[in-house]
Amino acid sequence: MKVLFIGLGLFFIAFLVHMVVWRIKIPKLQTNALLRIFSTTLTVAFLVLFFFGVFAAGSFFALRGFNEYMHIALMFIFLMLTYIITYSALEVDSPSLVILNTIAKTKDNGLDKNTLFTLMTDNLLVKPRLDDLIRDGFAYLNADKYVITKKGSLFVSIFILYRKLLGINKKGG
Amino acid sequence: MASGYVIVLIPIAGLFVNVLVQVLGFKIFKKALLKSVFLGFSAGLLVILAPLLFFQAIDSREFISLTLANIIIYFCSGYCYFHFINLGVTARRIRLLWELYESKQGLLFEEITSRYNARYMVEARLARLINSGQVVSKNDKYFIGKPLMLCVTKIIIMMKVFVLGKKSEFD
Repeated sequence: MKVLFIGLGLFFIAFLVHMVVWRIKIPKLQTNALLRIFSTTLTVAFLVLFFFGVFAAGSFFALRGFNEYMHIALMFIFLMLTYIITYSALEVDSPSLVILNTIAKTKDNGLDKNTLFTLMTDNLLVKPRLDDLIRDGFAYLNADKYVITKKGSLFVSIFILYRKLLGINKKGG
Repeated sequence: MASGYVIVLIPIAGLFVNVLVQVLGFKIFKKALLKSVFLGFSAGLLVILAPLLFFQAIDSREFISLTLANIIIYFCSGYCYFHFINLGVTARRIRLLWELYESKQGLLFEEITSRYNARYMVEARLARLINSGQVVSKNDKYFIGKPLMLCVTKIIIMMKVFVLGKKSEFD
């Protein structure tokens, strides 16, 4: 019961801290901030659990071995990654969901394609994502040209390699 | 004690089997991408649940609780893997980075949009939504078909309001 209770409990605590921070001020680099909050929560929690193990060996929070630390860390890390991936859907407006919402608002009248193209322009769909790449250090502006950084190259090559592994040559998007 | 470490390794083994079966399913058995994802996930889940058949001697309450923890870890890892695949298929930032990766000297905004632009994005997404029945086309107009993705849209908007205090990144 320990691993399940502590793993879920730690995630819940990290989520609460995240909500409190976001109510005060939403950080500029949101994913970075989430990673810091979650990793700090795990680190502090493990220190507390270690001290429980030393000074209160018989208590519920005293872990029996390194395997329990590993198991809790594994659970916490995957819950954290799941949340951060889901969060990225909140941070930006997914074009598919915008399309659906726009069509739904027309109810029985329907929506023609040209209206969609008028609403969804390069300035709305492309420019903000390029700005995100610069903000997150994946690209930079050299005069008027967007140039990929080493971090960006490393990041995108994982996806390119994976698609080559599957034999998919078509670029996504 | 050794069994304690084996229990920790089970969800990692499950994820490994998930990825292996998904890649093999897509590449060798020519399953559609989404079907290969479900196949891989199911195979990995068998790895997670298999110990329930073999480790009956262990204190069952503790063992069931650890297996439940492993199921949660595995579902999360499967979700992450699915989104990794999905990012390669649909993510704008990945595509933009890919274009920049192929043009190391850099690209102007106009050069980028000549290769990948809003029109392409809308066309690609409309095609996916029509293929899956979420949108239907009648007399050159689009209507909502199956309501599943629309429900997901509304849930995401509610979550945006709860977490970010706004419905759109442009608010």
